[in-house]
Amino acid sequence: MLFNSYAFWMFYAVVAAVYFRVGHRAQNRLLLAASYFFYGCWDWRFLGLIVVSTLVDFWVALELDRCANPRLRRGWLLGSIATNLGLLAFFKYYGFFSQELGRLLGAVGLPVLLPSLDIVLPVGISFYTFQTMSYTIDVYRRQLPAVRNLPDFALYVAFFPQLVAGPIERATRLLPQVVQPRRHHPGDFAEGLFHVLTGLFKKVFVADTLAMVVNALFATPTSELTGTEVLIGVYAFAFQIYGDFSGYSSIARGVAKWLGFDLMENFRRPYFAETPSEFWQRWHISLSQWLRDYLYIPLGGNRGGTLLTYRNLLLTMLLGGLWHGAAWTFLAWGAYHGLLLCLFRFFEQRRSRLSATTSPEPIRFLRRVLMFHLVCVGWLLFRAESLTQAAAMLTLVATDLTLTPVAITMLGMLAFYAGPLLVLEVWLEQQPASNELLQRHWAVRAAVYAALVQLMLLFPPVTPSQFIYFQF
Amino acid sequence: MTRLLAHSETRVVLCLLALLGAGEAGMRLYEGRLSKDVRHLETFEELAARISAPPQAGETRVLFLGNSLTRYGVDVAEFTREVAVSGRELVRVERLMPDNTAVADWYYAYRSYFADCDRAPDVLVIGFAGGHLNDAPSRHPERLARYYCRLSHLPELCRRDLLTVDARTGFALAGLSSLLCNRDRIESRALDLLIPGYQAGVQELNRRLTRRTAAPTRTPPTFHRLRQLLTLARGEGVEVLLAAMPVPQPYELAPELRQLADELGVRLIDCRRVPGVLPEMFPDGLHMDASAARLYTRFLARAWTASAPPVETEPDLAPPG
Repeated sequence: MLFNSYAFWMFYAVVAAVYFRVGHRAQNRLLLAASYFFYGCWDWRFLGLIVVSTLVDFWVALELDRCANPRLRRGWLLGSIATNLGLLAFFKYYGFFSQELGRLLGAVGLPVLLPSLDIVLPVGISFYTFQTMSYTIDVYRRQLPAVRNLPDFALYVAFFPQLVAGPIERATRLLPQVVQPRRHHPGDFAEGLFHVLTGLFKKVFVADTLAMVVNALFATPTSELTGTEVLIGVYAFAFQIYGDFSGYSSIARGVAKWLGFDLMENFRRPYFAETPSEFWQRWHISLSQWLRDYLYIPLGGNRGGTLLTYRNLLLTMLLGGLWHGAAWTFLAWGAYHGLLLCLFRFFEQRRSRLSATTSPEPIRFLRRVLMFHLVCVGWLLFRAESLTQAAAMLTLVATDLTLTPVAITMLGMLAFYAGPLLVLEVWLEQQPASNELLQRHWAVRAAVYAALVQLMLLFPPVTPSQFIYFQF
Repeated sequence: MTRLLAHSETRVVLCLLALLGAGEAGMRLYEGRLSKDVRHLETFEELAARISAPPQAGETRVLFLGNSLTRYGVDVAEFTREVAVSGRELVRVERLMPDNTAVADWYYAYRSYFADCDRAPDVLVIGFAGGHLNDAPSRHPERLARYYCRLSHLPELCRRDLLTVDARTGFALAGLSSLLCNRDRIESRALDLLIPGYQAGVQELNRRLTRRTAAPTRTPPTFHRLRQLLTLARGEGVEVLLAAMPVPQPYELAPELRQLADELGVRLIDCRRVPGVLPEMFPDGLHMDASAARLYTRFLARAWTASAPPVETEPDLAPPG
């Protein structure tokens, strides 16, 4: 059940119709049942995984809350992490690692036939696993008391707007909203509408239409491509993945808002970032913060000197890459971003010693353009089907900038489909608040929404695609 | 929920609804100007009435069913002339040829406008090429809703064509909205205008995509929908011809198709290689020009009127190119 499907909106209408007629406790039970139904629409078999993850963390948190013995508490925590990561490792990484291990052993003369399992990846497993782990770790750190009510906790884990592709909500933010009765404010519908419409626009008009350009590029043997086609195709992927993922997050925020929940902002116009660290403060913010709080800082953060900081940055980004999937391309993408962060940190420290003044606007613009291109190199690694393909494509970009008729069409499509989003984002970036449109006269909003709806209606994608991040 | 709406964006939502309403009204007013195809879709009823008018003595009513290949490839005047030359008496010819359609659309069109209303022609010529007769969903299910289907077809549609809730909802909405139904026409016109080389570029991108996704092994095609269509027509005593039309790209006639034609007593006329039709007679790479259309129509008419029909025989002249 995709957010951009009629089925979802019928489901949502039924849930909302009942939701606003019942009390708080019944609302929570209704949302829990609806969330399990929503997830079950993909595959009922994997509901068991969510239930196991929920029960384990609910129980472990209660024990952590009750227990005062540090060694025992540590044991409980490790047990919970092992269960969650064990599920993740089995379903997401077993195939990759068994294949690579088999290849490695074969290369050193020890051919081993490891059992090959045809494992289907449960949708959204990385998201809800990280969400439940953050809860247990927060209870372990005594930043949060354990929840006593199992259905409330189950709803926190499975809340359908953000279940399959985030944002990865912290228990400290979302759980109180589950436990306390929701309060509806006059602006909630307006805010939800803004998020839903902009999200649908990003998904339907930008991401799904550009998918054809991107898929065609990566389906073509590199010997038949030119560097210009690769360059435009990678730009298209940058907007496709942004439209797809931020579109999902935005719709999730919108539908949650209408139900009285406030989900975190997961994207803040990331292609306006001037530096790698700023990019990660704008892109998939919930994952960046998770990795910072539960990986980077526990590893030592920047407290152990320059070299250790670099090591921590690299390790965090490498694992961040691996979180996206079991493939060398994701690892390379993570390593590349880790390297960018290290290089930026190195140059930034030198620069701040020389001057602390703010750069003039043209310089900031150039830095944004440079950062966008650095991000695009990462996207090439991320989207490529192999490192060989990525290397061949990078070589093409560096050596052959022939403008072919197909490249001109691709460029035209990119400008047509990504242009309106870029205009909207440039305007939003110049405003003091992300939801500035909500402060404007209603007629302005109506005009903007009308334009978005018309574009979605008149220029639909050939085939609606599943959200890219469902696979992670 | 009502309170939530009342307190905030009511005016914005009403504006959006008004805009959608205005768009729909505009589309209904001007849809006929969008393309020849829309005008053609709107004439199905008249066309069916014309073909079903009582025949004059000795008159044969021929209905051509197909898509743009038939639009460009069947020369009605040439057909009438050629039939007259063969000594047959009068023919009345109509063409039902909506763009980008295949057997799924033809089945519902024939059923709605001819079979269900007892308006069957005497002869039905189904012009096809490549996989037009293979079982496959309609490329424009939203047009099925608005132009081809009746409410009574819903159970069959749900069983065979609209398998998901989304498909059914989209179908229902398209039945009500011309905007939803014809938006792809606006899209392609606008993009043609705005993006240099859009059609050719998209075709090239599609070629790259389908080359990758094409299945390496051949799975035998099925013809359930065609069987339904043929059974419907044959049940009313209609003489049916399946005309394999010439196109620049060569294609095979599946043995299963030949078998089905034999089984239902339908003539399969192989016009894939018509004498004199050359590759340069397909200016857009798919459709025949006027001279090729004359040659093809003549060939078809002769095949139909010949006492010994040249079913599944190769033409005696050299292939094009």
